[in-house]
Amino acid sequence: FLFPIKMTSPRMIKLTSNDDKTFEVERDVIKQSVTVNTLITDLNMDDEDVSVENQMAIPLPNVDAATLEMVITWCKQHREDPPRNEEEEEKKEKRTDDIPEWDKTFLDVEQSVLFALILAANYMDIKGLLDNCCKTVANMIKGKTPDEIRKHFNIKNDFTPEEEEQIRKENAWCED
Amino acid sequence: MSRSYGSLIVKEKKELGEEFSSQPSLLDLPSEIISKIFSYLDIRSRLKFGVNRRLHQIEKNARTSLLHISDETIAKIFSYLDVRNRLKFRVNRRLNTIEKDSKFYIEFMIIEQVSNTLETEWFVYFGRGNPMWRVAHGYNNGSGLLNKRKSDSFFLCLPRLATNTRFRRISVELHVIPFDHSLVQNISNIDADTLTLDQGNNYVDVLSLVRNKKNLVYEGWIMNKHASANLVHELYKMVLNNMEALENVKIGMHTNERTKFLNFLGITIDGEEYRSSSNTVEMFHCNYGGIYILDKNVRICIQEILSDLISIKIDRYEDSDDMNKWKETLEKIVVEGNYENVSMHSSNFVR
Repeated sequence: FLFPIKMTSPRMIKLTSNDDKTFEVERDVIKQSVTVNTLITDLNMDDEDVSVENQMAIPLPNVDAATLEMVITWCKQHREDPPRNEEEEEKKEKRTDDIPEWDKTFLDVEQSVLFALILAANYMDIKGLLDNCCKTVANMIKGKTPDEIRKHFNIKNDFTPEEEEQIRKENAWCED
Repeated sequence: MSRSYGSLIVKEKKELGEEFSSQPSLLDLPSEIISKIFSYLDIRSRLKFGVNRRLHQIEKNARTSLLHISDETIAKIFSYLDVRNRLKFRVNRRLNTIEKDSKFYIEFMIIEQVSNTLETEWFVYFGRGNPMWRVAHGYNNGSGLLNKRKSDSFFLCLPRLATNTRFRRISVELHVIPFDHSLVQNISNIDADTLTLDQGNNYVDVLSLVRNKKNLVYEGWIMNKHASANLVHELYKMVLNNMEALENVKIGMHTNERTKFLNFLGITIDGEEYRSSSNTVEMFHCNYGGIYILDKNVRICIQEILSDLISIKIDRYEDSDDMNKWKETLEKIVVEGNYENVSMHSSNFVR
């Protein structure tokens, strides 16, 4: 006897970037974004009777296409990650030596791309991506002098001479 | 309007040594308009668009930078930095304010006077895990050892740490007398779960330092600096009366000071016999040899360390159910059939 096997294709969600590019992404992948997840639930988009063609795209006005593509790639890579216990994590002293190798390579990008990813991760509320981006930036800061940090991140020193003197005195013990 | 833009372009081009062409071109647009055009491009296209020095510079200035990120996210980046790097990252006013207003958590801090002179060096260590790991983290090679100039700088930072950092444990070892009272004041303002004090701390300093601390571990006995009965009684009252944050005290004292302390609570020791006239005091024997005295919601555990040295633990129970559960686990020794006027013989404690 041959029974017809019902092939269930993964449920897809459409996302539109601020430069009007639309991406189709598996529902299971994009659930890592709390913002998108909430919108899907609030807009009843989990209705299985609606095909992806007829589905409304979720606009992401703060994310450009290139960044959104990277966010989706990250979410695909991390779709199997176990749920995070944020309460426990907040109680611990934080560390930056635990970024997964895949993420280290993925986040080894030009600074503006990394900061665009941080903005996107923050807006889309993707905790794992935001954490690993912030850890990557923290690793860039570590071991640098204040002047090196300013140069590296193109930050203007806007302290008054008095403020700068105070900071300099407080930082003297941090010098190697 | 066009004149002002025009003059701006002339100025920019002159600075960059560029020539005008007779035909209007993209480069005739002011930088702010070009920057707006950049903003509509994705990063790859933008990078390709930076085909000359001016466009490259405009593109560079228009890139998403660290300062485009929200205060909340920058605070998150700060939270991944150790104290030294955190302080060094205060490279402009905004970052300085974010650091000041954020809340951080650090596992432990050790502040230790290293030499016995007033021109002393200090050992300062921040870290996670067991404080004893400090040896592996550079105690011997001198990292974390601050000379006079650097320690003055570190103490300037203490008020800042007191406002924005909570510690699981801080360990303070002060040797030189007289103490710098501003230092004691600054340490007392620091929020920590546990304060470990070593030798040399006097009575007033201990009481000051326990402010904002839940647990006190006084390890002075290791160096033969035992707590006085008065000090332990003051700490006991802090726990009993729910003063400050103090909930637990672990302290070493001589047996004669223990006797004086118990006298303050209305308990006398006659040979090996404990007597109390107080209606609120109960006593228990624990199967590993300690004596427990319960007074309202406070439990005192007395244990012998050496023949003339004892360890006292004082802790407060917020919940009477917890206290009752704990009582059930102990063997209650009743002598003379009356809990309220307790009299116990040590020979009866043996199971």
